Amino acid sequence: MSEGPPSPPPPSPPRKKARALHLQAHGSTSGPGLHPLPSPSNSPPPSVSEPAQAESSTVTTTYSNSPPELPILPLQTLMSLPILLTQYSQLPSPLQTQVLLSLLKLSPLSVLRSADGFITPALSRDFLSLLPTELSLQILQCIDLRSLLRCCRVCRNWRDLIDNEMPLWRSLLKHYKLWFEDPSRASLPPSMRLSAHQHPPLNYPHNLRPPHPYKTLLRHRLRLQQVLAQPPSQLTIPLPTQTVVTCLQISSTRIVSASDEHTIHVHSPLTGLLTQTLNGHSGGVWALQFVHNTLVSGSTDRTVRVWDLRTGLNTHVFAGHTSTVRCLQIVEKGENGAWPRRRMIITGSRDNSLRLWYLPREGEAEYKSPGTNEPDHTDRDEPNRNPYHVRIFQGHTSAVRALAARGSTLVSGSYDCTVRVWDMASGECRFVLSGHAQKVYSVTLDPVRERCASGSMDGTVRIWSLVDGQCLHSLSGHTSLVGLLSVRPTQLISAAADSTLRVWSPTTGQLLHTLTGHPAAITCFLHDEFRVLSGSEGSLKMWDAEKGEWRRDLLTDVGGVWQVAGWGRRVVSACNRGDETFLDVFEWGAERDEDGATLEDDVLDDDASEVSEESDVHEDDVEGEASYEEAEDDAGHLKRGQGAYPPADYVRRIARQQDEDESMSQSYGDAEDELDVEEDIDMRHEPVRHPKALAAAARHIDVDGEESDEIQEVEPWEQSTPTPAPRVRSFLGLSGTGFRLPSSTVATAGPSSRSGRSNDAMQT
Amino acid sequence: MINLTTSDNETFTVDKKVAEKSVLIKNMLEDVGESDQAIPLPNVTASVLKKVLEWCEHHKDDPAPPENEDKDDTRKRTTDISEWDQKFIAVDQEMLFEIILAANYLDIKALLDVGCKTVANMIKGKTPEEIRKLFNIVNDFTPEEEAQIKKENEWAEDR
Repeated sequence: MSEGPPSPPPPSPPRKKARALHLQAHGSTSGPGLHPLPSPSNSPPPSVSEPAQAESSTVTTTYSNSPPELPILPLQTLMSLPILLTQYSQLPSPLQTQVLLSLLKLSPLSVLRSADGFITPALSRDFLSLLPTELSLQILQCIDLRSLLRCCRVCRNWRDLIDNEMPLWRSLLKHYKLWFEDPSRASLPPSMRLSAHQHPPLNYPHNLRPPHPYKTLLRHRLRLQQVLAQPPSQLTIPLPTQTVVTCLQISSTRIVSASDEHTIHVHSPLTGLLTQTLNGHSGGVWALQFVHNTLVSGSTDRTVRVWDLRTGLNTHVFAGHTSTVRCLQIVEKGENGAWPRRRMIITGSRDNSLRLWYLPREGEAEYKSPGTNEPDHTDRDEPNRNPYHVRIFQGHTSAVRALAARGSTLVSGSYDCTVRVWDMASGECRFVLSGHAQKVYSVTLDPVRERCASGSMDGTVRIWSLVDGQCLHSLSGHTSLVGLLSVRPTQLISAAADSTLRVWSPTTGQLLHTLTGHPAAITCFLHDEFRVLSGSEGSLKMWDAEKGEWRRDLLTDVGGVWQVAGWGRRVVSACNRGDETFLDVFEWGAERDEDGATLEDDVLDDDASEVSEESDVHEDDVEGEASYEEAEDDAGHLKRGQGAYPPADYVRRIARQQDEDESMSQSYGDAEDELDVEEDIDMRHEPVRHPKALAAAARHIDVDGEESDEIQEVEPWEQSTPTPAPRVRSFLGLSGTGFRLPSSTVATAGPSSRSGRSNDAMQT
Repeated sequence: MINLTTSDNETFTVDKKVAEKSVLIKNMLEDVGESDQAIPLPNVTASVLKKVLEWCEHHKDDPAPPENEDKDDTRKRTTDISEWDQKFIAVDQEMLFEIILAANYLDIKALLDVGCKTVANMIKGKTPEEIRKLFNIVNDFTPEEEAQIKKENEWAEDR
């Protein structure tokens, strides 16, 4: 104690290290199993001083210490410090331990405390940053979601580690049972696709990478699951049309609807205001889809039209089909640079053919096939002059009713009772899938399993292999026309005119659930992992997709529910109330309290900022954007169009649905179509195979007694749809609008499609 | 008996059964056969190996853990650390860190598990600031980034 060495005020830098090392040595020598040091921050002072006491007896004798406080000593001590340090550093570590402990023993609490301030951090380890990644992951796998999210906020390293760890988020998705096989292939909005990782939104802090899309996906799904349990808010928008709504699509900024009138309407889903009216078609619009600002529509006027949704202008008119364009789909760019290299349009027509077109990019040269305003504009050479026309697919011997496309694979369903599988890149027909006994009304692609499915008027659903064209399963149970089909990673759902929906395993074809409760044919449905929404006469119902249980009625006391579309939290439907047509926008989780609301909306809406109006061009130009294993499924386009419903199925469904009410389409648009007329006649002679349908029709007649005469003329299966009566009504209501009335009314009445024909000729 | 030599040249003599808790050593013994020659463990220091062997000794009669579980993809409960293990692993962070590395290197799955779970338990339930303090981590986000990250991670608070 006599010498200066044990001076209390510590000259910081070198000593810090020395002390730290010592304590460490001390820690490891003092009995392994017994050393409780889980949280070093507070414990050291007492625990350090105690062992120090034990061992310091020897030390004190060795160094014969000096009394702690000497007036002139500080200076001397400081002077001698360098030598002391040198000597100290040369001691073997057990001795260093002893020296240091003896010093500590002499130190007052305040010194110990500041010593602790050095020691604790020196002994702490940033485990996640310093351990090999696989070990860090193992640690992270043990941490609950809430703590994990807090970890993301600790520092850059931790955030990068956690947010980029795909297996971690995948395992969490599985943990919460929100992993549906390959979510990538399910339709996802932009921020949940893997590409989101590479292309952060513009307003993103530039030094950061967005989290792994699986994280966004988990967040979205957890939130969605939560809000779907509550009733949604509802915004009702009257439509300036009184006919049946044939097409419907919603994005975060637009609701696009089309009817059998010639006009396409664009509404704001937020305000409900009509923002655009697209005029140009000279016949009913029966198929449409938009991506970003580009809308494609197909009509009974035989044209395909492309619209710029920013200006509302019709930029392209493609002629070529010689009858109604019944179904269309925008085909997304291929994955990993596969065909197609740019977005395409595939259209199916009542002229028995399908045609492939380039989707014009925003701002690309306008093109309008000449003569489309004239009644008989069948210039067969026209497509050859159209730079946007790619090829025609011929082979079906009757109208093409439904199509589904992804990559270069195209599946088409036709009234010729077959399904054809085409390679769009080469134009080759790979398979003709025969087996259905009657017209095919719906097809859907299941890229996960390399299969497709088809629904037919024969009441069956067939699952086909895209590899060898074999029919893998024939699903029976429906008792009449299967007009709507949709496949998801875990479920295949069919909706039929027998008023039921059936949920099947897409793998085994096993019937999982039958959703019963609707009084009449299912006219539309929407399907994601959480729920099924189905529309029929009088109501729009929501079901639990997994359990197959009814959840709630979203619409009751309405007429026909024509369409339902949407994704995530926002869904729109089109229905009749009395003689008028309405859109109803349902929004889940819409409660707004000053701050909170914005956040929630972000999640559920998938951040509308990510789908800026320019993004189309941008995405189109980014090579490989579409290239990741996931995300870009057939539905990709729609989501891209601003988080809209993932629509692969939806679009197809729209197309399919329309025909569910075949009578309509024929009366409205296609009366001129010789083939169809004949078909109809044939059908009418068909034996009545659908007793249920008849029953439904009977009910109908009860309700709409005055129209019963007409209805009885219609094919039995048609009657089973809930539509005829309201349709007629709305039609009559329309009379003011002009020349279409007679044809349609008559046609609806059934037998007289021919008279409608002259009328149609007039229009076209 | 097996001889093990650490990176700092200390030699430990242990029961074969204890040493074979380490799959690394077990495989070595199978490949090379037993000999008097010490097995060098260049990645482990004496102080750490001592700890690790203490664990192996205590667990030498445990049944072998089930193989080939996909560790990347499974969520774990962290509460199930046995009392003895909890006591054993109550060491300073530096030692815990070294034990985890050693368990990984020596391929002692159960010990690695205990180590990882312990770290996880240290993290769980803490605020970002508490975590920083505990592990002596500096918050290196800019205010702008912090705002974004906060926004991104403010969910599941009820999970």
